[in-house]
Amino acid sequence: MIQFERVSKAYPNDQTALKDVSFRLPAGRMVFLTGPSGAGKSTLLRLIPQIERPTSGKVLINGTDIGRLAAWRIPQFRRRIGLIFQNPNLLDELSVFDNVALPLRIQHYPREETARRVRAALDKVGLLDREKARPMELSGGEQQRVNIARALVAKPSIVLADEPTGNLDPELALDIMRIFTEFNAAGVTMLIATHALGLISQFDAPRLTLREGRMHLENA
Amino acid sequence: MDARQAQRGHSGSVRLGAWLTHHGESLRDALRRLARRPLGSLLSMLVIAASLTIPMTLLATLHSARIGLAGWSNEAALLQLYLKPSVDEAEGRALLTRLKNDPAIADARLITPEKGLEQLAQTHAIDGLLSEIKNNPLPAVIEIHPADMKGLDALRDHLAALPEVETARMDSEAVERLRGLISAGEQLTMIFLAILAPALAITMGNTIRLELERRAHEVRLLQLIGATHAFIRRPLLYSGAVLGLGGTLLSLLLSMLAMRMLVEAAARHGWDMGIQDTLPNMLLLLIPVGVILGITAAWLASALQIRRIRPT
Repeated sequence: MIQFERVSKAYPNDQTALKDVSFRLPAGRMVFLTGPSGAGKSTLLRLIPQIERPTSGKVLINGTDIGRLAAWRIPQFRRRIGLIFQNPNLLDELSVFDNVALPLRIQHYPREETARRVRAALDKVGLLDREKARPMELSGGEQQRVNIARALVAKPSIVLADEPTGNLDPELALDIMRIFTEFNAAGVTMLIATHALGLISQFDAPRLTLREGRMHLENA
Repeated sequence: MDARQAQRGHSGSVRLGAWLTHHGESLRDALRRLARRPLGSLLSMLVIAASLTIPMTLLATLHSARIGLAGWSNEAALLQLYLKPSVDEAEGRALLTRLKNDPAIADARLITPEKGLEQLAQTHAIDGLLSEIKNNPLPAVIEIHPADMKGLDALRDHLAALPEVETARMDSEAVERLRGLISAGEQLTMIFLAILAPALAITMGNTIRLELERRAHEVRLLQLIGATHAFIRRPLLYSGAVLGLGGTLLSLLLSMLAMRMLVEAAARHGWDMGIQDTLPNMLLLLIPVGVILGITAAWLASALQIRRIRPT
Protein backbone atom coordinates (compact mmCIF):
# COMPACT_ATOMS: atom_id res chain seq x y z
CA MET A 1 0.00 0.00 0.00
CA ILE A 2 1.19 3.47 -0.91
CA GLN A 3 -0.25 6.38 1.03
CA PHE A 4 0.53 10.09 0.67
CA GLU A 5 -0.72 12.40 3.43
CA ARG A 6 -0.69 16.09 2.50
CA VAL A 7 2.69 15.81 0.85
CA SER A 8 4.37 18.93 -0.51
CA LYS A 9 7.74 19.17 -2.13
CA ALA A 10 9.50 22.43 -2.83
CA TYR A 11 12.93 22.68 -4.41
CA PRO A 12 15.54 25.18 -3.26
CA ASN A 13 14.92 27.38 -6.32
CA ASP A 14 11.45 28.03 -4.90
CA GLN A 15 9.81 25.88 -7.49
CA THR A 16 7.04 23.86 -5.86
CA ALA A 17 6.76 20.43 -7.45
CA LEU A 18 3.99 18.97 -5.31
CA LYS A 19 1.30 20.82 -3.40
CA ASP A 20 -0.62 19.11 -0.63
CA VAL A 21 -0.93 15.75 -2.37
CA SER A 22 -2.92 13.02 -0.66
CA PHE A 23 -3.88 9.64 -2.06
CA ARG A 24 -4.02 6.01 -1.10
CA LEU A 25 -3.13 3.12 -3.37
CA PRO A 26 -4.12 -0.23 -1.84
CA ALA A 27 -1.77 -3.17 -2.19
CA GLY A 28 -2.08 -5.15 -5.39
CA ARG A 29 -3.64 -2.32 -7.42
CA MET A 30 -2.38 -0.79 -10.61
CA VAL A 31 -2.73 2.94 -11.12
CA PHE A 32 -1.59 5.30 -13.86
CA LEU A 33 -0.16 8.63 -12.85
CA THR A 34 -0.75 11.12 -15.64
CA GLY A 35 -0.37 14.81 -16.27
CA PRO A 36 1.65 17.14 -18.46
CA SER A 37 5.43 17.27 -18.25
CA GLY A 38 6.59 19.16 -15.22
CA ALA A 39 3.38 18.47 -13.31
CA GLY A 40 5.33 16.63 -10.61
CA LYS A 41 4.94 12.99 -11.66
CA SER A 42 8.64 12.18 -11.35
CA THR A 43 8.89 14.00 -8.06
CA LEU A 44 6.02 12.00 -6.64
CA LEU A 45 7.62 8.72 -7.67
CA ARG A 46 11.02 9.74 -6.32
CA LEU A 47 9.56 10.37 -2.89
CA ILE A 48 8.62 6.70 -2.50
CA PRO A 49 12.09 5.08 -2.57
CA GLN A 50 13.49 8.04 -0.61
CA ILE A 51 15.45 9.47 -3.51
CA GLU A 52 13.86 12.73 -2.38
CA ARG A 53 12.26 13.65 0.91
CA PRO A 54 9.04 15.64 1.16
CA THR A 55 9.18 19.22 2.41
CA SER A 56 6.05 18.52 4.42
CA GLY A 57 3.56 15.71 4.81
CA LYS A 58 4.03 11.97 5.19
CA VAL A 59 4.63 9.09 2.81
CA LEU A 60 3.55 5.71 4.17
CA ILE A 61 4.46 2.43 2.52
CA ASN A 62 2.61 -0.60 3.89
CA GLY A 63 1.75 1.52 6.90
CA THR A 64 5.32 2.60 7.67
CA ASP A 65 6.16 6.30 7.66
CA ILE A 66 9.27 6.11 5.52
CA GLY A 67 10.38 9.56 6.63
CA ARG A 68 11.14 7.95 9.99
CA LEU A 69 13.26 5.14 8.57
CA ALA A 70 16.80 5.13 9.90
CA ALA A 71 19.41 5.65 7.17
CA TRP A 72 20.73 2.10 7.55
CA ARG A 73 17.26 0.65 6.90
CA ILE A 74 16.81 2.45 3.59
CA PRO A 75 18.71 -0.14 1.49
CA GLN A 76 16.51 -2.93 2.89
CA PHE A 77 13.43 -0.84 2.22
CA ARG A 78 14.44 -0.10 -1.38
CA ARG A 79 14.86 -3.80 -2.12
CA ARG A 80 11.11 -4.22 -1.85
CA ILE A 81 10.51 -1.63 -4.59
CA GLY A 82 11.13 -2.20 -8.26
CA LEU A 83 12.14 0.97 -10.09
CA ILE A 84 11.75 1.45 -13.81
CA PHE A 85 12.78 4.78 -15.27
CA GLN A 86 12.59 6.08 -18.79
CA ASN A 87 16.34 5.71 -19.06
CA PRO A 88 17.10 1.97 -18.76
CA ASN A 89 20.13 2.75 -16.59
CA LEU A 90 21.98 -0.47 -17.41
CA LEU A 91 25.66 -1.04 -16.67
CA ASP A 92 27.48 -1.35 -19.97
CA GLU A 93 30.37 -3.41 -18.63
CA LEU A 94 28.01 -6.16 -17.45
CA SER A 95 26.13 -8.68 -19.58
CA VAL A 96 22.34 -8.65 -19.74
CA PHE A 97 22.31 -11.58 -17.31
CA ASP A 98 24.57 -9.80 -14.81
CA ASN A 99 22.56 -6.58 -15.06
CA VAL A 100 19.36 -8.41 -14.22
CA ALA A 101 21.13 -10.35 -11.45
CA LEU A 102 22.29 -7.20 -9.61
CA PRO A 103 19.31 -6.90 -7.21
CA LEU A 104 19.86 -10.55 -6.21
CA ARG A 105 23.62 -10.19 -5.92
CA ILE A 106 23.32 -7.33 -3.46
CA GLN A 107 21.16 -9.59 -1.31
CA HIS A 108 23.65 -12.46 -1.55
CA TYR A 109 21.32 -14.90 -3.22
CA PRO A 110 22.90 -18.29 -3.91
CA ARG A 111 24.23 -18.71 -7.41
CA GLU A 112 21.73 -21.34 -8.56
CA GLU A 113 18.71 -19.44 -7.35
CA THR A 114 20.07 -16.24 -8.90
CA ALA A 115 20.43 -17.98 -12.26
CA ARG A 116 16.97 -19.50 -12.04
CA ARG A 117 15.30 -16.20 -11.18
CA VAL A 118 17.25 -14.16 -13.72
CA ARG A 119 16.29 -16.59 -16.50
CA ALA A 120 12.64 -16.54 -15.38
CA ALA A 121 12.63 -12.72 -15.47
CA LEU A 122 14.35 -12.61 -18.86
CA ASP A 123 11.87 -15.17 -20.16
CA LYS A 124 8.98 -12.96 -19.03
CA VAL A 125 10.28 -10.03 -21.07
CA GLY A 126 11.20 -12.27 -24.02
CA LEU A 127 14.97 -11.85 -23.83
CA LEU A 128 16.07 -15.26 -22.63
CA ASP A 129 18.25 -15.71 -25.72
CA ARG A 130 20.10 -12.42 -25.13
CA GLU A 131 21.46 -13.08 -21.65
CA LYS A 132 25.08 -12.98 -22.78
CA ALA A 133 24.71 -9.77 -24.81
CA ARG A 134 25.99 -6.41 -23.63
CA PRO A 135 23.43 -3.62 -23.18
CA MET A 136 25.05 -1.65 -26.02
CA GLU A 137 24.25 -4.45 -28.45
CA LEU A 138 20.54 -4.19 -27.68
CA SER A 139 17.88 -1.96 -29.19
CA GLY A 140 16.17 0.70 -27.05
CA GLY A 141 13.15 -1.51 -26.57
CA GLU A 142 15.28 -4.48 -25.55
CA GLN A 143 17.21 -2.34 -23.09
CA GLN A 144 13.98 -1.20 -21.52
CA ARG A 145 12.83 -4.79 -21.21
CA VAL A 146 16.13 -5.69 -19.47
CA ASN A 147 15.44 -2.78 -17.13
CA ILE A 148 11.98 -4.22 -16.40
CA ALA A 149 13.40 -7.71 -15.82
CA ARG A 150 15.88 -6.20 -13.34
CA ALA A 151 13.08 -4.35 -11.52
CA LEU A 152 11.03 -7.54 -11.20
CA VAL A 153 13.67 -10.19 -10.55
CA ALA A 154 13.70 -9.76 -6.76
CA LYS A 155 9.87 -9.99 -6.66
CA PRO A 156 9.19 -6.55 -5.23
CA SER A 157 5.79 -5.85 -3.72
CA ILE A 158 5.70 -2.41 -5.34
CA VAL A 159 6.83 -1.39 -8.82
CA LEU A 160 7.23 2.26 -9.77
CA ALA A 161 7.63 3.13 -13.43
CA ASP A 162 8.42 6.64 -14.70
CA GLU A 163 7.59 7.03 -18.39
CA PRO A 164 8.62 3.42 -19.06
CA THR A 165 7.51 3.60 -22.68
CA GLY A 166 8.76 7.10 -23.36
CA ASN A 167 11.39 6.10 -25.92
CA LEU A 168 9.56 3.21 -27.52
CA ASP A 169 7.41 2.79 -30.59
CA PRO A 170 3.71 2.13 -29.93
CA GLU A 171 3.87 -1.61 -30.46
CA LEU A 172 6.74 -2.10 -27.99
CA ALA A 173 5.03 0.25 -25.56
CA LEU A 174 1.92 -1.89 -25.66
CA ASP A 175 4.04 -5.01 -25.03
CA ILE A 176 5.56 -3.44 -21.97
CA MET A 177 2.20 -2.35 -20.60
CA ARG A 178 0.99 -5.93 -21.05
CA ILE A 179 3.95 -7.17 -19.03
CA PHE A 180 2.97 -4.72 -16.30
CA THR A 181 -0.63 -5.91 -16.19
CA GLU A 182 0.64 -9.49 -15.93
CA PHE A 183 2.70 -8.58 -12.91
CA ASN A 184 -0.16 -6.69 -11.39
CA ALA A 185 -2.29 -9.79 -11.87
CA ALA A 186 0.33 -11.64 -9.81
CA GLY A 187 -0.31 -9.24 -6.91
CA VAL A 188 2.32 -6.50 -7.43
CA THR A 189 1.26 -2.93 -6.65
CA MET A 190 2.02 -0.86 -9.75
CA LEU A 191 2.26 2.90 -10.02
CA ILE A 192 3.02 3.94 -13.57
CA ALA A 193 3.68 7.54 -14.52
CA THR A 194 3.08 8.27 -18.17
CA HIS A 195 1.68 10.92 -20.45
CA ALA A 196 0.81 8.39 -23.14
CA LEU A 197 -2.92 8.79 -22.67
CA GLY A 198 -3.78 6.94 -25.86
CA LEU A 199 -1.84 3.91 -24.68
CA ILE A 200 -3.29 3.71 -21.19
CA SER A 201 -6.83 4.19 -22.40
CA GLN A 202 -6.56 0.55 -23.56
CA PHE A 203 -6.09 -0.60 -19.99
CA ASP A 204 -8.66 -0.76 -17.29
CA ALA A 205 -6.87 0.95 -14.44
CA PRO A 206 -7.63 4.10 -12.43
CA ARG A 207 -5.77 7.30 -13.17
CA LEU A 208 -4.30 9.86 -10.82
CA THR A 209 -3.70 13.13 -12.57
CA LEU A 210 -1.22 15.75 -11.47
CA ARG A 211 -1.60 19.32 -12.67
CA GLU A 212 0.79 21.95 -11.42
CA GLY A 213 1.62 19.85 -8.43
CA ARG A 214 -1.95 19.13 -7.37
CA MET A 215 -3.65 15.76 -7.48
CA HIS A 216 -6.87 15.06 -9.33
CA LEU A 217 -8.49 11.68 -9.14
CA GLU A 218 -10.12 10.27 -12.28
CA ASN A 219 -11.94 7.01 -13.00
CA ALA A 220 -11.02 5.69 -9.57
CA MET B 1 19.14 -10.30 8.55
CA ASP B 2 18.15 -13.55 10.34
CA ALA B 3 14.42 -12.97 10.00
CA ARG B 4 14.77 -12.22 6.31
CA GLN B 5 16.95 -15.22 5.89
CA ALA B 6 14.30 -17.40 7.45
CA GLN B 7 11.68 -15.82 5.21
CA ARG B 8 13.57 -16.78 2.13
CA GLY B 9 14.22 -20.19 3.53
CA HIS B 10 17.95 -20.17 2.87
CA SER B 11 20.07 -21.90 5.41
CA GLY B 12 22.79 -19.84 7.02
CA SER B 13 25.51 -21.83 5.30
CA VAL B 14 24.01 -21.19 1.86
CA ARG B 15 23.97 -17.47 2.64
CA LEU B 16 27.51 -17.60 3.95
CA GLY B 17 28.54 -19.34 0.75
CA ALA B 18 26.89 -16.61 -1.30
CA TRP B 19 28.56 -13.97 0.83
CA LEU B 20 31.97 -15.58 0.35
CA THR B 21 31.26 -15.80 -3.37
CA HIS B 22 30.55 -12.10 -3.25
CA HIS B 23 33.98 -11.52 -1.68
CA GLY B 24 35.57 -13.51 -4.48
CA GLU B 25 33.62 -11.46 -7.02
CA SER B 26 34.67 -8.24 -5.29
CA LEU B 27 38.32 -9.22 -5.55
CA ARG B 28 37.94 -10.17 -9.20
CA ASP B 29 36.05 -6.94 -9.83
CA ALA B 30 38.81 -4.93 -8.14
CA LEU B 31 41.52 -6.64 -10.21
CA ARG B 32 39.54 -6.17 -13.42
CA ARG B 33 39.09 -2.47 -12.75
CA LEU B 34 42.75 -1.97 -11.89
CA ALA B 35 43.71 -3.87 -15.03
CA ARG B 36 41.38 -1.72 -17.09
CA ARG B 37 43.43 1.31 -16.08
CA PRO B 38 46.89 -0.23 -16.03
CA LEU B 39 48.74 3.07 -16.30
CA GLY B 40 46.83 4.79 -13.50
CA SER B 41 47.09 1.74 -11.25
CA LEU B 42 50.78 1.32 -11.99
CA LEU B 43 51.40 5.01 -11.32
CA SER B 44 49.68 4.78 -7.95
CA MET B 45 51.73 1.72 -7.08
CA LEU B 46 54.90 3.44 -8.28
CA VAL B 47 54.22 6.44 -6.04
CA ILE B 48 53.80 4.08 -3.10
CA ALA B 49 56.87 2.08 -4.14
CA ALA B 50 59.04 5.15 -4.69
CA SER B 51 58.23 6.67 -1.33
CA LEU B 52 58.79 3.37 0.46
CA THR B 53 61.98 2.46 -1.36
CA ILE B 54 64.14 5.16 0.21
CA PRO B 55 63.45 4.26 3.83
CA MET B 56 63.48 0.57 2.99
CA THR B 57 66.87 0.74 1.32
CA LEU B 58 68.11 2.76 4.25
CA LEU B 59 66.83 0.14 6.67
CA ALA B 60 68.37 -2.63 4.62
CA THR B 61 71.71 -0.82 4.45
CA LEU B 62 71.73 -0.18 8.17
CA HIS B 63 70.82 -3.79 8.83
CA SER B 64 73.60 -4.90 6.55
CA ALA B 65 76.01 -2.48 8.20
CA ARG B 66 75.14 -4.01 11.53
CA ILE B 67 76.08 -7.46 10.26
CA GLY B 68 79.15 -6.07 8.52
CA LEU B 69 80.18 -4.31 11.69
CA ALA B 70 80.01 -7.59 13.55
CA GLY B 71 82.49 -9.23 11.17
CA TRP B 72 84.73 -6.22 10.98
CA SER B 73 84.99 -5.75 14.72
CA ASN B 74 85.89 -9.35 15.51
CA GLU B 75 89.52 -8.49 16.10
CA ALA B 76 88.79 -5.19 17.71
CA ALA B 77 86.12 -6.18 20.10
CA LEU B 78 87.51 -7.51 23.30
CA LEU B 79 85.73 -8.98 26.18
CA GLN B 80 87.56 -8.46 29.43
CA LEU B 81 86.95 -10.74 32.34
CA TYR B 82 88.03 -9.24 35.68
CA LEU B 83 88.72 -12.17 37.94
CA LYS B 84 87.90 -12.16 41.61
CA PRO B 85 90.87 -11.25 43.90
CA SER B 86 90.54 -14.67 45.54
CA VAL B 87 91.39 -16.41 42.26
CA ASP B 88 95.07 -17.25 42.17
CA GLU B 89 97.22 -17.58 39.09
CA ALA B 90 96.86 -21.37 38.80
CA GLU B 91 93.09 -21.08 38.89
CA GLY B 92 93.30 -18.27 36.39
CA ARG B 93 95.33 -20.41 34.00
CA ALA B 94 92.90 -23.32 34.41
CA LEU B 95 90.04 -20.99 33.49
CA LEU B 96 92.04 -19.71 30.52
CA THR B 97 92.49 -23.26 29.20
CA ARG B 98 88.79 -23.93 29.57
CA LEU B 99 87.90 -20.72 27.78
CA LYS B 100 90.28 -21.46 24.91
CA ASN B 101 88.41 -24.71 24.33
CA ASP B 102 85.08 -22.90 24.14
CA PRO B 103 83.97 -22.77 20.46
CA ALA B 104 82.44 -19.34 21.02
CA ILE B 105 85.87 -17.95 21.83
CA ALA B 106 88.50 -17.46 19.15
CA ASP B 107 91.35 -16.59 21.47
CA ALA B 108 91.95 -15.75 25.09
CA ARG B 109 94.90 -14.25 26.97
CA LEU B 110 95.60 -13.99 30.64
CA ILE B 111 96.99 -10.78 32.09
CA THR B 112 98.20 -11.36 35.61
CA PRO B 113 98.04 -8.45 38.08
CA GLU B 114 101.82 -8.04 37.77
CA LYS B 115 101.72 -7.86 34.01
CA GLY B 116 98.80 -5.50 34.22
CA LEU B 117 100.76 -3.19 36.44
CA GLU B 118 103.69 -3.30 34.01
CA GLN B 119 101.45 -2.37 31.11
CA LEU B 120 99.92 0.41 33.10
CA ALA B 121 103.35 1.75 33.97
CA GLN B 122 104.43 1.66 30.34
CA THR B 123 101.43 3.41 28.96
CA HIS B 124 101.04 6.03 31.62
CA ALA B 125 104.57 6.73 32.70
CA ILE B 126 103.75 6.65 36.34
CA ASP B 127 106.70 4.54 37.46
CA GLY B 128 107.38 6.56 40.51
CA LEU B 129 103.87 6.46 41.69
CA LEU B 130 103.52 2.73 41.16
CA SER B 131 106.63 1.90 43.12
CA GLU B 132 104.92 3.48 46.08
CA ILE B 133 102.11 0.91 45.93
CA LYS B 134 102.82 -2.01 48.16
CA ASN B 135 99.91 -4.22 47.26
CA ASN B 136 99.04 -4.56 43.63
CA PRO B 137 95.40 -3.42 43.42
CA LEU B 138 94.85 -4.78 39.92
CA PRO B 139 92.83 -7.94 39.39
CA ALA B 140 93.87 -10.68 37.02
CA VAL B 141 92.24 -10.12 33.65
CA ILE B 142 91.43 -12.51 30.81
CA GLU B 143 91.06 -10.86 27.43
CA ILE B 144 88.79 -12.69 25.07
CA HIS B 145 88.35 -12.49 21.28
CA PRO B 146 84.96 -13.88 20.56
CA ALA B 147 84.57 -16.20 17.59
CA ASP B 148 81.41 -14.49 16.50
CA MET B 149 79.98 -11.08 17.28
CA LYS B 150 76.40 -12.15 17.04
CA GLY B 151 76.07 -13.76 20.44
CA LEU B 152 78.39 -11.30 22.09
CA ASP B 153 75.96 -10.12 24.71
CA ALA B 154 74.94 -13.66 25.57
CA LEU B 155 78.60 -14.70 25.78
CA ARG B 156 79.37 -11.84 28.11
CA ASP B 157 76.47 -12.75 30.37
CA HIS B 158 77.54 -16.37 30.35
CA LEU B 159 81.13 -15.53 31.25
CA ALA B 160 80.11 -13.00 33.89
CA ALA B 161 78.26 -15.78 35.65
CA LEU B 162 81.42 -17.94 36.03
CA PRO B 163 82.43 -18.29 39.68
CA GLU B 164 85.98 -17.01 39.05
CA VAL B 165 84.77 -13.87 37.31
CA GLU B 166 84.01 -10.65 39.12
CA THR B 167 82.79 -8.68 36.12
CA ALA B 168 82.83 -9.04 32.36
CA ARG B 169 83.28 -5.85 30.35
CA MET B 170 83.19 -5.22 26.67
CA ASP B 171 86.11 -3.23 25.47
CA SER B 172 84.68 -2.12 22.20
CA GLU B 173 83.57 1.41 22.72
CA ALA B 174 84.03 2.47 19.12
CA VAL B 175 82.06 -0.49 17.88
CA GLU B 176 79.38 0.22 20.42
CA ARG B 177 79.19 3.81 19.34
CA LEU B 178 78.81 2.78 15.72
CA ARG B 179 76.18 0.31 16.71
CA GLY B 180 74.37 3.05 18.58
CA LEU B 181 74.56 5.21 15.49
CA ILE B 182 73.04 2.42 13.42
CA SER B 183 70.26 1.99 15.96
CA ALA B 184 69.59 5.72 15.87
CA GLY B 185 69.50 5.56 12.07
CA GLU B 186 67.04 2.68 12.19
CA GLN B 187 64.82 4.52 14.62
CA LEU B 188 64.94 7.64 12.50
CA THR B 189 63.95 5.63 9.44
CA MET B 190 61.08 4.08 11.35
CA ILE B 191 59.88 7.54 12.33
CA PHE B 192 60.23 8.56 8.69
CA LEU B 193 58.09 5.57 7.71
CA ALA B 194 55.50 6.46 10.30
CA ILE B 195 55.26 9.97 8.87
CA LEU B 196 55.14 8.56 5.36
CA ALA B 197 52.27 6.18 6.13
CA PRO B 198 49.50 8.82 6.19
CA ALA B 199 50.86 10.36 2.99
CA LEU B 200 50.70 6.94 1.31
CA ALA B 201 47.19 6.43 2.67
CA ILE B 202 46.18 9.74 1.10
CA THR B 203 47.68 8.71 -2.25
CA MET B 204 45.83 5.42 -2.24
CA GLY B 205 42.67 7.02 -0.89
CA ASN B 206 42.74 9.50 -3.74
CA THR B 207 43.07 6.72 -6.32
CA ILE B 208 40.07 5.01 -4.73
CA ARG B 209 38.14 8.27 -4.67
CA LEU B 210 38.74 8.79 -8.39
CA GLU B 211 37.68 5.22 -9.07
CA LEU B 212 34.48 5.85 -7.14
CA GLU B 213 33.93 9.07 -9.06
CA ARG B 214 34.22 7.16 -12.33
CA ARG B 215 31.74 4.64 -11.00
CA ALA B 216 29.24 7.22 -9.78
CA HIS B 217 26.66 5.98 -12.28
CA GLU B 218 26.99 2.44 -11.00
CA VAL B 219 27.01 3.54 -7.35
CA ARG B 220 23.78 5.47 -7.89
CA LEU B 221 22.13 2.48 -9.49
CA LEU B 222 23.29 0.17 -6.69
CA GLN B 223 21.93 2.59 -4.12
CA LEU B 224 18.59 2.67 -5.93
CA ILE B 225 18.17 -1.08 -5.93
CA GLY B 226 19.02 -1.25 -2.24
CA ALA B 227 22.71 -2.10 -2.04
CA THR B 228 24.22 -1.30 1.34
CA HIS B 229 27.26 0.95 1.61
CA ALA B 230 29.23 -2.10 2.70
CA PHE B 231 28.34 -3.88 -0.55
CA ILE B 232 29.30 -0.89 -2.69
CA ARG B 233 32.50 -0.41 -0.73
CA ARG B 234 33.73 -3.99 -0.78
CA PRO B 235 35.35 -4.03 -4.25
CA LEU B 236 36.99 -0.70 -3.40
CA LEU B 237 38.51 -2.18 -0.24
CA TYR B 238 39.94 -4.94 -2.39
CA SER B 239 41.30 -2.31 -4.80
CA GLY B 240 42.99 -0.65 -1.83
CA ALA B 241 44.44 -3.97 -0.68
CA VAL B 242 45.76 -4.71 -4.18
CA LEU B 243 47.26 -1.21 -4.47
CA GLY B 244 48.94 -1.59 -1.08
CA LEU B 245 50.22 -5.06 -1.92
CA GLY B 246 51.47 -4.06 -5.36
CA GLY B 247 53.10 -0.91 -4.01
CA THR B 248 54.98 -2.66 -1.22
CA LEU B 249 56.06 -5.57 -3.43
CA LEU B 250 57.31 -3.11 -6.02
CA SER B 251 59.22 -1.16 -3.38
CA LEU B 252 60.79 -4.40 -2.08
CA LEU B 253 61.92 -5.09 -5.62
CA LEU B 254 63.30 -1.56 -6.05
CA SER B 255 65.06 -1.76 -2.68
CA MET B 256 66.67 -5.04 -3.68
CA LEU B 257 67.90 -3.45 -6.90
CA ALA B 258 69.21 -0.44 -4.99
CA MET B 259 71.04 -2.71 -2.54
CA ARG B 260 72.59 -4.72 -5.35
CA MET B 261 73.82 -1.55 -7.01
CA LEU B 262 75.23 -0.34 -3.72
CA VAL B 263 77.07 -3.61 -3.16
CA GLU B 264 78.45 -3.59 -6.69
CA ALA B 265 79.56 0.01 -6.40
CA ALA B 266 81.25 -0.77 -3.08
CA ALA B 267 82.98 -3.81 -4.57
CA ARG B 268 84.28 -1.75 -7.51
CA HIS B 269 85.99 0.52 -5.02
CA GLY B 270 87.45 -2.49 -3.30
CA TRP B 271 85.48 -1.67 -0.24
CA ASP B 272 84.03 -4.68 1.43
CA MET B 273 82.24 -3.79 4.57
CA GLY B 274 80.31 -7.02 4.35
CA ILE B 275 77.17 -5.33 3.09
CA GLN B 276 74.87 -7.94 1.62
CA ASP B 277 72.40 -7.48 -1.17
CA THR B 278 69.68 -9.40 0.62
CA LEU B 279 66.87 -7.64 2.41
CA PRO B 280 66.31 -8.29 6.07
CA ASN B 281 63.24 -10.41 6.79
CA MET B 282 61.93 -7.57 8.88
CA LEU B 283 61.06 -5.70 5.68
CA LEU B 284 58.64 -8.49 4.73
CA LEU B 285 56.51 -7.10 7.53
CA LEU B 286 55.90 -4.09 5.33
CA ILE B 287 53.75 -6.21 3.00
CA PRO B 288 50.87 -6.73 5.44
CA VAL B 289 51.35 -3.16 6.64
CA GLY B 290 50.96 -1.94 3.04
CA VAL B 291 47.85 -4.06 2.52
CA ILE B 292 46.25 -2.83 5.75
CA LEU B 293 47.15 0.74 4.86
CA GLY B 294 45.52 0.31 1.44
CA ILE B 295 42.33 -1.11 2.95
CA THR B 296 42.18 1.67 5.54
CA ALA B 297 42.68 4.32 2.88
CA ALA B 298 39.98 2.79 0.68
CA TRP B 299 37.63 2.56 3.62
CA LEU B 300 38.08 6.18 4.56
CA ALA B 301 37.87 7.46 1.00
CA SER B 302 34.75 5.47 0.23
CA ALA B 303 33.09 6.32 3.54
CA LEU B 304 33.46 9.98 2.69
CA GLN B 305 32.59 9.63 -0.98
CA ILE B 306 29.67 7.17 -1.12
CA ARG B 307 27.58 9.47 1.04
CA ARG B 308 28.18 12.29 -1.39
CA ILE B 309 26.94 10.29 -4.35
CA ARG B 310 23.17 10.42 -4.14
CA PRO B 311 20.77 8.47 -6.29
CA THR B 312 19.08 10.57 -8.94
